[in-house]
Amino acid sequence: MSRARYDWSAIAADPRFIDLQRRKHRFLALLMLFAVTSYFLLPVGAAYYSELFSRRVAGQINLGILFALAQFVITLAVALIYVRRANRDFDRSTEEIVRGAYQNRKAA
Amino acid sequence: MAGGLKKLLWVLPFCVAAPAIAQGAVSDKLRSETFLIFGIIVVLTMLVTYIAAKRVRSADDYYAGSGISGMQNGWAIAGDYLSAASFLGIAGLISAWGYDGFMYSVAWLVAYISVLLLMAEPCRNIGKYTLADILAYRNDPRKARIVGVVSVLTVSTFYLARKWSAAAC
Repeated sequence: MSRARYDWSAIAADPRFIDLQRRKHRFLALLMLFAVTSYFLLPVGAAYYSELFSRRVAGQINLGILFALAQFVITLAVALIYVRRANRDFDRSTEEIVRGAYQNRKAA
Repeated sequence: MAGGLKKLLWVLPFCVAAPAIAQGAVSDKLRSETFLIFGIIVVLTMLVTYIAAKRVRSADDYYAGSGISGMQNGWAIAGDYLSAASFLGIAGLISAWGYDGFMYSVAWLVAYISVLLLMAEPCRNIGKYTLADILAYRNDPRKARIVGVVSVLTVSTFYLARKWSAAAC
């Protein structure tokens, strides 16, 4: 139904669209790399650096527990960073491209 | 041995809930706190269910057809994943294995980052309800839906097989 509303191949060739895709993929790859690295430090740390992880910070709480709890904060932060970037940057660029494509179609 | 261990993993969550068989599963010192938190979560779940049920008037509301906000949808998905497996299972894992069980629960959480960045991101603003809808929108609808159905059945079969083997051991 809404399939016919836009000229998809024109959008795909739009330099703004290509630029948006590039920016988006780079951002997502970096964010993913950061999240995966920070998570895999947890099992690696627990397995190979147990002296470091078992260092007490306060009472029964050691570095290992703090690092595991920090994963919750990191996950929330990654989600918020993505939502912020998507709302402010990606959605705005997408809207521009869509509006341009719609006008082109009307003009044609 | 492995079968016994698996059985222990499945039974442990229920030990937390049932005082009669909770020998050693919960330390005596923290027993009342354990049941208090368990009770609070049960009451909260019932409350949310009650509030949600009052708002639903037709079958259309059930499928979120009348439009729900992003925040409400997020809560709904979060509630979906607070299943017996993630909630009781994780509690049992931490109770049985301590830090190792805790690491497992962290993995569960961090996995949502890949769901967000790899699965949810391409679905953003498409306005479709399921993954098959999105594939059908961008490709040949008939073929895309067949692929969707086949992958759902494949995943469900393996998921069921695991549950059956766990229930039978």
